[in-house]
Amino acid sequence: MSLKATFKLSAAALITALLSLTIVSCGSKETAVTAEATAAPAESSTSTLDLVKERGKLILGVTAGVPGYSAPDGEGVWQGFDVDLGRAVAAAVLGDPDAVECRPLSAKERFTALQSGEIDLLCRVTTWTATRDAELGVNFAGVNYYDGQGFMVAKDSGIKTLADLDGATIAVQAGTTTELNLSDYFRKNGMELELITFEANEQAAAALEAGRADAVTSDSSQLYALRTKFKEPENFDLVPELISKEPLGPVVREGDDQWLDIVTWSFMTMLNAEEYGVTSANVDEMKASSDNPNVKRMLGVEGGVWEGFGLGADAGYAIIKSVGNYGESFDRNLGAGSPLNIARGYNALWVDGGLQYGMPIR
Amino acid sequence: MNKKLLEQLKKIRQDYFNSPGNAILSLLMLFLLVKVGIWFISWAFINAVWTGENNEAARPGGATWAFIIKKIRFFLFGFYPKEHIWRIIVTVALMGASFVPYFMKRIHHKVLVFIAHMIIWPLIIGFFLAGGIGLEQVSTNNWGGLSLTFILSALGLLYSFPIGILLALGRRSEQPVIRILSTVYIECFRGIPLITILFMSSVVVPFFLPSGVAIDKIIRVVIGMTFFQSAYLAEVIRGGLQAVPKGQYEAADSLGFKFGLQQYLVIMPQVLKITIANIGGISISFIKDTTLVLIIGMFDLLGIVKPLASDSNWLGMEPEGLIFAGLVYWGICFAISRLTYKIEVKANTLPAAGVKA
Repeated sequence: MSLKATFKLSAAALITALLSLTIVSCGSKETAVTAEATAAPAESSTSTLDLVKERGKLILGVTAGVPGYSAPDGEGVWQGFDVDLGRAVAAAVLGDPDAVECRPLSAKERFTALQSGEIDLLCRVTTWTATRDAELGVNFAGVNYYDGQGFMVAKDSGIKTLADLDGATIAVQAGTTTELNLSDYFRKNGMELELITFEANEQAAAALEAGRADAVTSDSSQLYALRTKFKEPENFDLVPELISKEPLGPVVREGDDQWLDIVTWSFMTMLNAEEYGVTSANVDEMKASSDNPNVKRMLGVEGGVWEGFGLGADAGYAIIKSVGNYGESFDRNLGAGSPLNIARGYNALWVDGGLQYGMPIR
Repeated sequence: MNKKLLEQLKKIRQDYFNSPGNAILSLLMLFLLVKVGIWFISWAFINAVWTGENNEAARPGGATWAFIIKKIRFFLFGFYPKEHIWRIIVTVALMGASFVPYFMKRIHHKVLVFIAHMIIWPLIIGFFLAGGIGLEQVSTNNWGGLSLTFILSALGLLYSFPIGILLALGRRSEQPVIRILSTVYIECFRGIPLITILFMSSVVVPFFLPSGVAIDKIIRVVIGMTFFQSAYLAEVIRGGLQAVPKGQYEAADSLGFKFGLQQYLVIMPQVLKITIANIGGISISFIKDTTLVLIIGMFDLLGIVKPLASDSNWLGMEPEGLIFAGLVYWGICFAISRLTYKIEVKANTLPAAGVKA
């Protein structure tokens, strides 16, 4: 190679390297850029509520397909537990639960889409963590599903609680936090563990089905989805306890408190409705004849609660009428009314020993 | 006994059973082939289920093609509204029809047809598929399936072509600025994985746009993919340029052609002829690369398998969906491969374009 050619080559390589460095540093600065970008639209432009009203529909960020949470049905319409929450907000704001456009997002894109204003609300099985709240310029509006790492076992194995798993053979997907949590938990509690790792969750579940493992562990929502693929799903169940916290909830942009309130209280309405026995079927009757002041305020018969959020008086009524209460939505998408057949567990109401607690509407 | 058959048997013995080791290997391979073949045939055909409303129709050890049949609309057209699907069909038909001028003998300057495509295709797609003027607007969010694969591939290949040619010429230019810029561009985009470009276009670009300005994700992705593909195309074309003998340039010079005419009438026809096979090859890999858009939440033919198999009524249907998508990709790529071969055969027997026989 001639001297000149060598020089040219190295110059080109240098420029290339510089350019790619710029690109890489842009990538790592992403969060910083993000934070600046978030502050701007919230202050300068109109509120999300006005934007949604003007547009006439709510743009909802969802998964690219997680059974029960958000997935297209036979007609290509997105349905699911997370979609229901979006529909509830649309019903409250626009009076029409169908005025929702679902935008499927990858895990990487989801926060950017929210920050850049591409979507109004993110309901995408997103875990509420401190880092996300602190760094991403987003706010969590509640927890609509308490997920966590659980264990699936054969019903006839005699394993009823976590303590029974001492000395068990457990199948897990390799290289995940799930695997770490598992060994941490067993070490902490002085329990014996026989670990078999697999490349994919499906293979780990297959090991349980084939009897190679006593239990398989993953996020409980995952385990329920895996169970539907078993030949005899009725022979398997989850132990009731979870060993990690994955609170999943709806997310909004930071800096728009009114919108955050609307999403929070749309969800709270669904919880309260379940607690007071208001369902999509009996909501008209309840509105006409209920003596419960909580129900009256929730359904807009008295109190003027909803006007304070900038919504119509019947926002609460619209939610229950069109989407139903929390229990109905759970049952339809995740629970006994769906192939997933997920137990309420931690997601039962507080009065039933669960964690779902609707703040008082007054 | 037939003499020919005997000869064939003898050849088989010589080729596959010429030593005990080879005989064992041959038998083992034959056994595996038959075993896998039987398993596949019984899975895909004998035990397969063709009708059903949900995954309860599935039979153990058999494919549930009912899933594909029930969801075929989504595989082809994504979540495009049912009542507007005719618009996709019209778009594809018009784009197909726009190839007719290439076969018309009266049109000598086919490059004009190509330039017309660059203007007309986005207009067709914008008017019919996106709507807004005269037709109801359909968000690009709802585009998907095979039609999205088609649009991404068609636009990406269309625009990468002229850019690739310019870059290839630029890299051989005697002007240092043009040469260095072209080289940097080519080396940059060849050095960055397509996934990175797609992430940049979907995640980073929105932050650099002034607030209120939103460029549709499909446009951003097409631009990113075009940048990527043109860099590869440029190198293929540069290879072709190097293969054209110096005498051809001198011949063009002696005819008094300036650079443009020299390239257009003498050099490029030869370059494109030499590189047909390579262009076909990178086009095939580009079409397969469009599947990467699934990581940025766009549902092309491959990406749509996941949401469709997440339908609670059809859980566990990923294998059928993936095999179907794979077969369609194979069909497309095989067709292009055959087409490339045909063009090659034709090009080698005909005089170069622009020169009358």
